[in-house]
Amino acid sequence: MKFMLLLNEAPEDFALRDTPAKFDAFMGEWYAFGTALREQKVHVDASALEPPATATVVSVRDGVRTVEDGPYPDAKEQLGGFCIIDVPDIEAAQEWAAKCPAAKNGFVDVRPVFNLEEGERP
Amino acid sequence: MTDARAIAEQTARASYGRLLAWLSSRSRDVAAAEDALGDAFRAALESWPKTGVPASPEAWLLTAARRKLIDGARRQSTRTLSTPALTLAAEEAEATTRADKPFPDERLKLLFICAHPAIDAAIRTPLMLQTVLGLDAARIASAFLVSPRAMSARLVRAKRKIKVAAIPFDAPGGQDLAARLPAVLEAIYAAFGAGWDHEAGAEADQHALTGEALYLASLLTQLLPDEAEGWGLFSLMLHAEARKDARRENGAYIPLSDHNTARWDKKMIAHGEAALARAWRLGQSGPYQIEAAIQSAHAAARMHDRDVTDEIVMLYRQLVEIAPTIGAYVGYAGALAAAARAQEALHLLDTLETARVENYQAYWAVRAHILEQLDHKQDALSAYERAIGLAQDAAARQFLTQKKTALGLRRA
Repeated sequence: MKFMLLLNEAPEDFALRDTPAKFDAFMGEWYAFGTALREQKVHVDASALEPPATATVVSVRDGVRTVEDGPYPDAKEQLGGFCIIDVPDIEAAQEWAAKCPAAKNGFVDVRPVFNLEEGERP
Repeated sequence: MTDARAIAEQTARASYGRLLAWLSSRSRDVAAAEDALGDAFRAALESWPKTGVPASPEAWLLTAARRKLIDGARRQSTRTLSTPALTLAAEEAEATTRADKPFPDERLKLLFICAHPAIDAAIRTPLMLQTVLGLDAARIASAFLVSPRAMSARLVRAKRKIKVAAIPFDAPGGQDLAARLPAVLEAIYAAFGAGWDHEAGAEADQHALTGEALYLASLLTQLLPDEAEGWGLFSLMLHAEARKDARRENGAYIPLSDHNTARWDKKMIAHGEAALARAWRLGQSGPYQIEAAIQSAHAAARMHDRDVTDEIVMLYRQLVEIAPTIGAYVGYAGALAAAARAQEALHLLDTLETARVENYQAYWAVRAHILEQLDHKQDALSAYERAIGLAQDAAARQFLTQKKTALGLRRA
């Protein structure tokens, strides 16, 4: 079954993206994680996201669209990327979450992907 | 500033803005375009006042910026090493300067991208001042009372967002224009107010960006001549600027009714009247036009000794109908009081939500004045007290303190 790992990164991890001296070491961990996902054939989709400063919040209330500079909410850890993995159960998904570099300074939300097809839902 | 110097500087800013608009709308990278043009622009500000404005200002700037532009404006950020799009845009711009026509003006796109809904509202005005006029972050920071470093960081963040989030460089048309124009007008008006809202007087004059804001408003009316609200905003700003020298005497705040009109700039008032007439002819009413009309009525009252109190009440009633801001309601109450309708004015103030007015200085100043008219001495004194406590500006504080003291001495 599919799980989405929402990678909530700490500000210091976001900063590493723009720190040339530490960039390679930082990315190395991510490449290793991504390679493992592929080798174990659990990878469905994954991507990093541009930092929260580039976020925009859109909402529609009573038919009126509001667009604002984001992100919302303005927490310390922010969504920095996601992975969708296909694994047998939540235990396996948690194992992957714990291996993810984002878990070290930030945290990973593990969410089962909603499946509309009949029979698949518990 | 001498005229020649002023013309040189204005031309340099206009050409810089046109080039920046051209380069960044094609490369989508405002920061890289600024980097490439910055030194050339500073050189122009330095030399044109002495040597005169070159025949093709844009070509001059492009030549001066050549090396940086041809290098593809290497950026220091690790992830955006170079922007070939910028080099291409620069080549295209050079070809355009060789054509025997004025350089195309795409600054409207810059105005709209700066006030895009996805850009933090608080940084829109600084972004506009920096990109359209080439003002440096330190000068902008001083008007907004933040450190140059913090202002720089916020500007960098906004430009990065424009690039990374792919905010489109376009000037909206039709319905989109109507939806997005107010944010542009608001950002220009905020430039006009920046530096004013704080400590006034000589110090504020150094911070104020009123000249720059007037330039932006005037530019907007040239770029969008059929938008009545642009003319309305321009008119409103001209009326306010025209009274600048009368607003204070020896550092003391002078209310409009006591202005020495000899100190008003009559030419600027006429200019404001012309802008308002132009707006009305377009037949689309709007809040800035009504506010300008109110200022125009005030000017007529003082200059031609006309009774405009009812006219002003009517204008405020229209204003609160289409733009029910707290400032408009307080202005309406003030207008009612001036028309000897203080009881109605007080009733109107009482209907406003407490949370919206408790820290709004103008509310308490107007309320105090109305209560004084109605002989509610104790309530008036405490309203003055609130207004004084909330006043940011020393001259306004002193003016209110004098009024409060005078009332306190009066027998009940």
